[in-house]
Amino acid sequence: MGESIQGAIGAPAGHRAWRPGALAIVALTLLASGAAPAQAQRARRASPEAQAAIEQLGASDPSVVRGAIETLGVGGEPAAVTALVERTRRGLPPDLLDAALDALTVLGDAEAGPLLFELSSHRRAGVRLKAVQALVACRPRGADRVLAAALSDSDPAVRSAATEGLAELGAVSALDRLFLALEHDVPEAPDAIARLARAAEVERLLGYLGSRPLTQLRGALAAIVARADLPERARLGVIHRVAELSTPEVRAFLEELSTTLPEGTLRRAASDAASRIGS
Amino acid sequence: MRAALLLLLAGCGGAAGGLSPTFPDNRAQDVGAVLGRLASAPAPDAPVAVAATESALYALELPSGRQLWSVPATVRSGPYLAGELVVTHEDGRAVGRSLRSGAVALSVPDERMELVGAAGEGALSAISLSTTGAVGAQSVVLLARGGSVFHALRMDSPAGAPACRGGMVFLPWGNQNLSVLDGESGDEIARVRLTAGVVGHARAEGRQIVFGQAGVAHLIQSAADGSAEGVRWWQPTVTDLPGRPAPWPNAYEPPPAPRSALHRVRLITASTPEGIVQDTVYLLYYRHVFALASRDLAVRWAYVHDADVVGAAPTSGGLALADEQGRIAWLDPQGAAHPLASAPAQPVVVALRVDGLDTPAPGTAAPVADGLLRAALSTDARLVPARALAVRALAAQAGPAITEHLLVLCDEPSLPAELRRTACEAIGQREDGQESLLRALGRHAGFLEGTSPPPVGALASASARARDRRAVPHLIAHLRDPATQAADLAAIAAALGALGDESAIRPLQDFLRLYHCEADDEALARALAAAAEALIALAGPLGRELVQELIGDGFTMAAARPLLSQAGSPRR
Repeated sequence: MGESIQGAIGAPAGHRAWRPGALAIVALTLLASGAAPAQAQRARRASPEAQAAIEQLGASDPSVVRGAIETLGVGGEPAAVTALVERTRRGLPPDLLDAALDALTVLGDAEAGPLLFELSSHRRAGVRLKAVQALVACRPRGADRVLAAALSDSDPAVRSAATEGLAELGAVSALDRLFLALEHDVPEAPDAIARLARAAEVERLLGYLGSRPLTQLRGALAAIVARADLPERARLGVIHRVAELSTPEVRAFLEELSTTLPEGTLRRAASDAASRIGS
Repeated sequence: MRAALLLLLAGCGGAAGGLSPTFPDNRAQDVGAVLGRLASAPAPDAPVAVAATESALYALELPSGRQLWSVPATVRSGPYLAGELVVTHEDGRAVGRSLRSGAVALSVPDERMELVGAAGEGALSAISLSTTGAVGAQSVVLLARGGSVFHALRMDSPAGAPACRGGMVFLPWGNQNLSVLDGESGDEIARVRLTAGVVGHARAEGRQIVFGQAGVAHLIQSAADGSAEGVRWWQPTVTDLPGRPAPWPNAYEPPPAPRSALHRVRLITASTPEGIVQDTVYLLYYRHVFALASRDLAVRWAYVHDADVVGAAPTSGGLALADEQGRIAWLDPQGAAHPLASAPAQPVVVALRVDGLDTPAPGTAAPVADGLLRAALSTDARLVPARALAVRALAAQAGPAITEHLLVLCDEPSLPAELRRTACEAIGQREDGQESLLRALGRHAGFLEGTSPPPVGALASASARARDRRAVPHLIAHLRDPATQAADLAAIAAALGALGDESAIRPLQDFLRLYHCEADDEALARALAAAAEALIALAGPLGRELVQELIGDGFTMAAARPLLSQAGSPRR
């Protein structure tokens, strides 16, 4: 048995699979027994209430542990994140794991990222969903890659959360995956694309007109037309391409769109296009 | 004629009282005399097929396929080829029709008995009617010449299905006896009493007589001692065969209706005293035909027909088949099919007489694996047991291509569970085809990719068996993949332990920590125990330390705790 095994087994559990450099994370629950200096330093920064809660994370009574998780979640102290991550990695029953994820979501600290990456492939879909939501809240580096992978999750709620999360994170790198999600009828995909699309992706989205139902795309198209950060030419292009379909459904869409736009070129274009389509 | 028949049935003829209870059985000189007559028997009757549809009977000359006749008829059982007659059970009567014209030559009331069987040779026909059953059974065996009944043998015993050869009638009766009757007088001229097994059927094969039911006996000189050795008794162990068919159905039960599965699930043999012809037994299972080695019933090849086979008979090499679409074909000894004849009808059962049938030259043998794979992949739900047999036979073949075939079957979610399980279990026993297995292991479930998880448990077992450490990263990835079936996790963990690669230590630790507090789940509990064992195998005392920690954790899954304790026991 080599040293690597010794290291894997002998070191405090939890941090090893994620990032060796995060050794400090491990120690918070060991404060009372003289932990490493870095750990102790962080712990010293914790308020007395947080410190007490951290100690209670190791309790055998689930209600005490739940209370500690909730205390740490609302306290908003950095030391809480470290402690919750460590406790979660040691294994928690389902309800306490859910509570820990809720707390980490509230805390929104990127330090929880490695744990959340791991939990995004937990066997229970409910855990994966919370992990994805927490990743959006915590915004750790690499969250976009994990959320893009979660678009392939077997659970539709996880896919939806990942789709919305990618939009929230501004993950333009995931646009190809989002288009794939659109083709697989992930309901939130068009809206996510609409939020992330640049001119080229607007054109790509318009390519789905006619092959996908307008009901699937209309929200996304309206969102693009409303996006002031896109060139007006691209937004006008959306109105013209939609108008080419010339269906009563398109007419209704353009009429409604025109009422949501401020006075100006786009509003006139939508209104004119609608009027050109016979009833 | 009717009056004469009734008189006969009322009990005329020398055997009105049935077979003599004092007739000596197993007398060598009697058997010798019978064998002497058999040796000079005329050539068998010409090949022919007689088919029953829902509302008609028709006959085809073989191998030409020329239709000899077709008549309206609704048969209850049969048809039986009986020399110049074809005998059926219709509307309370045993009916004999001329094979040349289809005209009714004989019609006898059944006296509420079943038509158990009929056989013939030239103008001689023997028809066996019986109440079936054992205690209190009654039977009448009619001997007819040219359609005229000349002898009616009444018996207070159940009669079986007879055979005719050399001017003699070979009549099984009372479970253990084969009486030989002279075809002219109806007198009993020999009797063999067999203790090796039930005697319910007799059949002429060339100039030989075979008889039996669950096994096959041969009427040879040594049969006079009545022993299994004396008759060269052959009885296959059919417990592993789909449908468990015997060489013959039970003659002492009511005969199968024309549509009965018993006509479509059969074990077909041609036998000589020296052994089963070409050492091959044919298993018919609706539309699958398996050639089996007579010694151990190992599958030699499989043939899949495109319709149910409703009639089959062994030729001197190969098998003649009749299907529900009116076609008749010959399967050569290599399993290649050769069309012989066709009729525009949908028969439900077909009787074939194929002695001396001119058959085409055998074809080129197709790869055995191809036939087995076709048999395994056929989609008919009735065929699942036969498809499982094909999978087992496929698994017995060596080579990477076979492994790939098994993988396809194990990995096909549309297959019935029994079939998939058989294929997956077979994969777990493979030692070749690792490249295919590694490719499969590289696949993961993905909603956007439209992929499903591979059969990881089977692949893990196969990788461990092959000691292929290249599988380790894949197995770790599947251990972490939520799409992996919980039932497969234990096999993955076990394989990681068996493969002895230290890179699996951390993933096993992570798995144990992450899931040991989950709600009770039997499969997950087993997986945790397997992961604990694997960890201890890879990391020794340090692995055991973690397992002890988990056992001591108050949140540990109750179902897993005893298993973890077992895994962490120092004695292990």
